[in-house]
Amino acid sequence: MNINQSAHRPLQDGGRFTAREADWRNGAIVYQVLVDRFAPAADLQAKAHLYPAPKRLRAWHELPTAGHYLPEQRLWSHEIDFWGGDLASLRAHLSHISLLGADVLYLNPIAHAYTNHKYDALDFEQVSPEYGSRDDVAALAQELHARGMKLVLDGVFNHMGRNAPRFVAAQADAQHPERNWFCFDAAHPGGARVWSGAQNLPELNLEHGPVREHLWEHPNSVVRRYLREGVDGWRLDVAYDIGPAYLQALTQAAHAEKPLSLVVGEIWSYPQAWMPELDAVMNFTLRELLLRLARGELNAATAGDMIERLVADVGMEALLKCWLLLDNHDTERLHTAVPDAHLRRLLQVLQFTLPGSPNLYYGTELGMAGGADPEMRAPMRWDLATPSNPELQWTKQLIALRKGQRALRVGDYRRIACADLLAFERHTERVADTVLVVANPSAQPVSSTLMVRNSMLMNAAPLKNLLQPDSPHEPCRAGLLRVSLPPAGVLVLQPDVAPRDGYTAYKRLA
Amino acid sequence: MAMALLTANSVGIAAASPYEARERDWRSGAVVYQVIVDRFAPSANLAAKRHLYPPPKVLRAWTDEPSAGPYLPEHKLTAHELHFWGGDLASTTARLGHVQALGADVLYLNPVHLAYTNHKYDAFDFKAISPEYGTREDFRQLTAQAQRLGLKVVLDGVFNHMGRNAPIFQQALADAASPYRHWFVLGPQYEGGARAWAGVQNLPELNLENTEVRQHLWGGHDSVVRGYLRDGVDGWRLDAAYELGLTYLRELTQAAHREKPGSLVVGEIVNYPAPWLSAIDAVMNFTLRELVLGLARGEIEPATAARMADRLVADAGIEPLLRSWVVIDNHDLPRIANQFPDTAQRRLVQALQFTLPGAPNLYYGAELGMAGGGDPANRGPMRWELVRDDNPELAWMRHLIGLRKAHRALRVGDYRRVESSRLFAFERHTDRALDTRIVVANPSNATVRERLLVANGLLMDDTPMVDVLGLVPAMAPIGFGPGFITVELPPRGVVVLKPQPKALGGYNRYKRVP
Repeated sequence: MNINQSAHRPLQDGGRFTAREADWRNGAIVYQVLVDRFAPAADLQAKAHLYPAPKRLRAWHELPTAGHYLPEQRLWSHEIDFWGGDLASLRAHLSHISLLGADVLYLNPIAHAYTNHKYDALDFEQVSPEYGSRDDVAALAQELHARGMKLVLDGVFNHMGRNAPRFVAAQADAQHPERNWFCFDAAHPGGARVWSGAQNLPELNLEHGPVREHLWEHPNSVVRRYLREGVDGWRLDVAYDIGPAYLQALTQAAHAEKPLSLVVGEIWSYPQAWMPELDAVMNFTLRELLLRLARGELNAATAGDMIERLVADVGMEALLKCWLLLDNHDTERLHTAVPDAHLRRLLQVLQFTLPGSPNLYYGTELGMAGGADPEMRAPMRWDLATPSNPELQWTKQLIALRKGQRALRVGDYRRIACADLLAFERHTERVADTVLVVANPSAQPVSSTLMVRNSMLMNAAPLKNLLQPDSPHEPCRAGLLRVSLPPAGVLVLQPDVAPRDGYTAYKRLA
Repeated sequence: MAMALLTANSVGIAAASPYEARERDWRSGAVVYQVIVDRFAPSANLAAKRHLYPPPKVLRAWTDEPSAGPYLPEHKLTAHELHFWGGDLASTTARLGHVQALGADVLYLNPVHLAYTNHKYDAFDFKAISPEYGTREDFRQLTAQAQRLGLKVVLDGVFNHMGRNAPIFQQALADAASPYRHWFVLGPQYEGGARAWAGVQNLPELNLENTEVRQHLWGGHDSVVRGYLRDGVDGWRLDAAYELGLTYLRELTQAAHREKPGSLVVGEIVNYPAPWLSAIDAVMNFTLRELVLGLARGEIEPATAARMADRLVADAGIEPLLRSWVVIDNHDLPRIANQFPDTAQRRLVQALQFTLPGAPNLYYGAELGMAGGGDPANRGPMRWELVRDDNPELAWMRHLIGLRKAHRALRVGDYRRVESSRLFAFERHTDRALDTRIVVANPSNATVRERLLVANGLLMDDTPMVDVLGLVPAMAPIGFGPGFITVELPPRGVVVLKPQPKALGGYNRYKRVP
């Protein structure tokens, strides 16, 4: 309710949008990379010894497939199949990411760990030797900064790997000084509390002060030292397991070390109540909503109600920092989840126009497909990275749309109510910034009249069609907008404030 | 700063918990059992008190049902207002075990003061007990027994008017020099010579603008309100409270609280509740009743009903709303069995009565399935022969009350709307994530499957939700995603969902959320 009220008086309130623009975390485009899978190593032979059996090195053209459980290692064979990518090869391919227009590079874990996914840390302070060293991380950060980009690391602070020297030592000796770093109890299968039943992942006892010191409190803690070495933020794995109190302490520690650093949590719960403990969450609720909308399981009006509720509950400042993802390393890829190209593009338009920071999973811009783990973690298809790839052209068009539109990055949200269409505005203090988005997720053509509650939009003034610049849209009449959309159609419109023959009704607003 | 920001808007991460305070306040979320003394329990020795019912009063047999009688112009009453079944305070006291065993927290008695009719809304003297019912001593014994059984007692205060035959009214009418002359509003412009409630000649209104009257009713140490509080009463239900106005209601409530801190003043307010709750502790929530009825009858769309309930909670505030009585039927309304003869529909209404925020007001006999249309059919004598374990209505009511006792959030939890379209759904939640209960109802006559958004950030992904109401047979646990549940309900189906985390070998996703 507050949001809507303030939105009616945008002209008095311009400072808010300028302030948002000055904070890199708002509305940034985040490109996500699995280091092992992103770019082939320059000299794989030279580092083949880093992958001793039962680890396996695979060829870049091979696709990952589900393996079998290895009881001795307590993990699956596909968790230790490697493709050999590293920080140096990633650095050599950075221009793909920066030319795409991404603002942030987010790396899945690179801490020293046993598996390929590195969610089973052996030592948080070291980089996995297959990937490189801490110096490589600093160099990567430096190069990203030189390109105007930021670096976010994956912090896995709820648990470590079963083979972590710390865990092995503590397990072996009940008197070990670090025994309390974990939760040993004969009542737990395997003798220690593990994450969600995964025997390879013993949980850290965060209630024990020295653990928190090590992870984020101490000036030389994992969180703070990486920030000093050039990292700009942390994505926290299973943040819901860490709990609001510790998340708040961690975020405060990060901000104390580096003001405006980002702490974004993997929160699979409804986002409200996790901020401001965290700066942002990965917005799985919005992802779920968009996918259900595309599948026809939610109608447009109900989805509109829910989004409005979400915006009101979370608040714009936090929401702009939340990552808006459609796929990532834990979900099937977008092209597999939504094979219909029209519907997929509708979802991507929404991903890039709804409030938040779009989280682009490596390869989705190339049209890579892939089902459940491990299929969605295939090596990057560099053969598809050609200017003629229509998926790549489309992604670049979406990113360019966003870069060119301030309201899409930092604007407020206002719902446009409609029974059959999902529609909303993004707007700032400048009417010329306003963007109207109208989507028809249904399988039928829909014609409807919408009420656009924006008092600055002028009667009968022209509307630009941002996705199809050559066909301008019929104007609003006194706030009412007539639209016709084909099945899975989507419109992105903007008031054209340019004078015609010297005249424009926007002359005292724009 | 972070904490301060959170308290207003989000789930109880903040340290201070209002929920424990609510649990300590008997008024919040109580189950209120309402009794008409004449009709609740047959007198132990009716013959001995037969002389208390002289003609035109009529004593009826306990097996008789009330029926509408003719208007008696001489008495300015209808005949059925003078039909008695002979129940009294002693017989009520003897049967309090039924009320306690049911699990009720509060006994609310329709008026017991000295009055002419059976309903006693026409008082002669507020400070005396009607002789058919007993004496102030009998009344003190009733409150003492109630206290032993853990029951609070609420009396019906009828302070807008008295009965036409009240001695002080007759005196005031006859004698211009009477000290009671200004206790009423007399004048030739009024039919019958006095301003009467809603045109009912038998009910002359009290002149509350006269300070003496207010002192008598609630201001003075020996006032009606304060005297009964000292005799063991825990609260007052105010008849026609909207007639008293905000100023006098506030004065009355303050007087009651001064005499007995934590006592309840609940008003019969047939208006939208919000502004009245600034003056009294609670209202009888007729707005919520209309909403539930409209929803159950298909006259209000579920999504609209949810929005209205949300508005009601926001406007009224949760604290007074938890104390407010959720009424479906009472002595002025057809019994619920007549309002909803269809069992499934009636169960849906009762499930909402016992899960929406407030204090359910259970009208004697509703727990037995007693039927009865408009006044006087809704005031039949209690059918004690129906108090049997195999009475399905009684078993269902015990289950509903037990559910409230077992699930804290249903008693003292906050209300939060769940986003839905064809299903009516809401959350009750406290400062503990696992206290959360999600209520989902399908008021329609078709099966509805719908995806709902539960805007509760502390409920974890992949937490199974199990139904604790048991109304829908073979309801499988429902999966919970990042705020979403998909619920399929048969026609008139209702579920009360409880998060039940999976056993994961000692691992627990809720270990660090409150």
